[in-house]
Amino acid sequence: MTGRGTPSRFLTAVLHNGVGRYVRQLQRLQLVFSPTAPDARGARQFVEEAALDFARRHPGVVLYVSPRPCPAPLLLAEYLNGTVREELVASKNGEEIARLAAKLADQSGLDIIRIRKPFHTANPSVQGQWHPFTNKPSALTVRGPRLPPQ
Amino acid sequence: MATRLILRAARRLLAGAGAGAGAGTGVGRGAHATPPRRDKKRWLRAYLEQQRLRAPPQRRSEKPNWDYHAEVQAFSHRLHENFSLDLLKTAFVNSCYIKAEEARRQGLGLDKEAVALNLQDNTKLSEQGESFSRSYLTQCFEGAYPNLPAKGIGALVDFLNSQELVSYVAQNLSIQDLTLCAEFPVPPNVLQRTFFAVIGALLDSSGPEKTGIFVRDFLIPQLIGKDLFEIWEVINPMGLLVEELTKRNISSPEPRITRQSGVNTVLPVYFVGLYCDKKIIAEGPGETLLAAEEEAARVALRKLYGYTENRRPWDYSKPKQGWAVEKAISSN
Amino acid sequence: MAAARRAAASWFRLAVRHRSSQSQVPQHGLVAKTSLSSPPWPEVKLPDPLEEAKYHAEVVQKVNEMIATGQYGRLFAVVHFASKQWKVTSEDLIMMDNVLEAECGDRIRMEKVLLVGADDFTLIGRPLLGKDLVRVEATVIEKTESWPKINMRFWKRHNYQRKKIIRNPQAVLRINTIDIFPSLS
Repeated sequence: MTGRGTPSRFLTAVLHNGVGRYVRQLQRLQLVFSPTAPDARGARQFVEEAALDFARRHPGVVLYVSPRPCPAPLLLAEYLNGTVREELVASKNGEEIARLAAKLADQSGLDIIRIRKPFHTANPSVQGQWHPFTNKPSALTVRGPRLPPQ
Repeated sequence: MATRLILRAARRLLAGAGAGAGAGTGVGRGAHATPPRRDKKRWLRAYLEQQRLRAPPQRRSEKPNWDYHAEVQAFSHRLHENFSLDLLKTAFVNSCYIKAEEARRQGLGLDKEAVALNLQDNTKLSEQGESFSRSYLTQCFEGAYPNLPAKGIGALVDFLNSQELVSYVAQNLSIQDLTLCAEFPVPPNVLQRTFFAVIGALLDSSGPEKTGIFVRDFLIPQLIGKDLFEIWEVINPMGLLVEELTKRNISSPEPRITRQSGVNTVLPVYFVGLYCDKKIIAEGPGETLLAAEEEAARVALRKLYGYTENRRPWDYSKPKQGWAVEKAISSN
Repeated sequence: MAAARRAAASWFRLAVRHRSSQSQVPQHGLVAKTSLSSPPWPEVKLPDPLEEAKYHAEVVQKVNEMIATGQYGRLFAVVHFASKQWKVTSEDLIMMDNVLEAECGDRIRMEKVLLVGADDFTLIGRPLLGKDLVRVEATVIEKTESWPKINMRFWKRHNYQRKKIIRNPQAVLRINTIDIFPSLS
C-alpha cells in the first residue's frame, strides 16, 4: 500500500505562498446542520460558542452557517485553488468541531496524498552541480611525459 | 411444472378480479398489489453520484451560500490589503457582464430606465493597473539586473504580464468566483483584465508603494525556478554574445573542446569552452558540438547579464525605495 | 576473546613496523621494494606550519572582505530543525513531521545553523555558527496531516487481524531569507 500503488506528489505550495506574503488558502467554510437532529448537537454548540470566535480570528475566511434539514451535519471547506473538502461532523462536540475548523483553515487545499520528499528546492546547487568531469583535467591541459615511477 | 405455472397464472387473474371488486367497494388495496421492495437500493448512491458528476459546472454565485459583500471583504482581508470596497467591487465588474445583464433585462420587457445598470466597468482600472504593473516591474528589473539589455527586461516583463500567467495567478486567488462576467467558465483574458483592475483599485485606495509590494509579492515569485532563456527566446546566442563582447571591448570568443566522452557512441557528450584572450569565460555541455557551443554561449550570456542560477535571490523583505515607485508613477 | 584478538592485532602491527624500520635502516640495497618496505603512494609532505598559518590568514581576510562588500550570490545553509539536518536555500520548502507550535503565517528564525555556503566560500560551524553571524528565517505556510497510513497486522489461520489508520501532523515551512552578518546588512 505504501509503494508505487498509492498516488503521490511532491511538496508544493499554491502560488509560491509565503515567498512574498502569506495568504491563507481557505476561502470559505460552510457549516450545514439540522436544527433538530440529535447528532448535530455539537454543531449547534459550535455555532453558539465558537463560530464567532473563529470568524473573528480568520477575517479572510467567509463562514456560512446554514441550519436546514440534512442527513448529517457537514463542514464544507473551499480553498483558493478550487478544492472542496467535506468533513462529516456528526456526533462531534463543539470543541472537536472548532479544532477541525482550525485545521481546515491551516491547510492549503492540495491533495492529501503521499508526499515523496519532505523538501523542495528550485536551486538544487549553489556551488555547482557535480558531473563526471568535475575536478578532472580538461583535454586542453598540456600534459608532459609521464614521470617514471621512482 | 406446467400445472404449477397454470395455477400461478390463475391466482394472479383471481387477484386482479378481487382488486377490481375491491375498488368497486371503495376500500381495497388498489394498484398496490405487490408490497414495496424492502431490499437496499444499492444502485441509488452510484446513480446520484453519476448524475452529480454529469451536471454542468455552475458558477459559485449560483450555488447555495453566497454573500457577495462578505466575499469581497474577505478577499481584501485575505491579501492583507486595505482596499476601498467600492473600488474593489468596481474592479470585479466587466463590461461584458453589463452588456449581458442589460440585454437580459430588456428581454424581460423592462423599461429603459429600469434596464440601465448604474455600474461602472473596470476598463479604466485595468488599464491603470496594467500600466502600473508594467512600469513597476521594469523599474524593479532595471534596478536588480543593471547589465540586462532592454530586450531581456522587456521579455521578463512581458512574461510576467502575459495572459497565461496572470490568469493563472488570478485563478489561484479565486478571482474567477468574484468577477462578474457574461461567460462561464471565465475566459483567461477577462481574468487578466480583472486582476489588473484589482491592482488599479489598490493603487487608487492605498497608494503606489503598497501596490508595488502587491505586484512584487504575487508576480515576481513566478520567476522562481525559471531560466532566463526559457522566458526570453534567443535564437542565435553566439551572435548576441559577440555583440555584447564587442560592446565591452573584449575580443571575440574562441570555442574549444575542453572535454569529450563517448564520441563514437549514441550518446556522446562534448564540453565546449569559450576563450577570450586565452582566458576561459564559459563552458557548456552538449550532445553535439554545435549544441555545446550554443550552450556555452548561453552560459556566458547569463554570466554577463548577472542572471546566473546562483545569483542573489530576490529581496522580498523590506519595501523598495521610494524612487522606483515615484518613477513608475511619473512614467504613467 | 575480543581483547585477545585486539592484542594480537596490535602485536602484529608492532611487528610490521619493527621489521620495516629494521630493514630500511641498516641494509639498504638488500631488501626488495615491496609494499611492506615502503608504501606504494608518494610520501605525504605536510606544509610548513608557518606558511600554512599565513595562507589561512590570507584566505580568512579574503572571505571577510567578500562578506563585508557583499560579493556573494545565493547562500545556502545547513540547519538543524525537527531533529534533522536540512540543506536549504532561500525560497525552499521543507516539511516536518510533527506538531509545530507556531501559527500559520508566523515567521520563525532557525537558530541552529551548522553551515553557510556561497559560491566561493563556506563557513562551517564547530558545531554551530553564531546567532550574530547567520540568520535563517522561515514562514510557516501550512499545518496539515499526512495521508492516512494503514498499519495492518495479520496472522494467518489464527483469526487475528488488527487495522490501524495513522495520520501524523505535518507542517510545511518556506525559507525566506539567509543572511550573513545581519548586523552589517
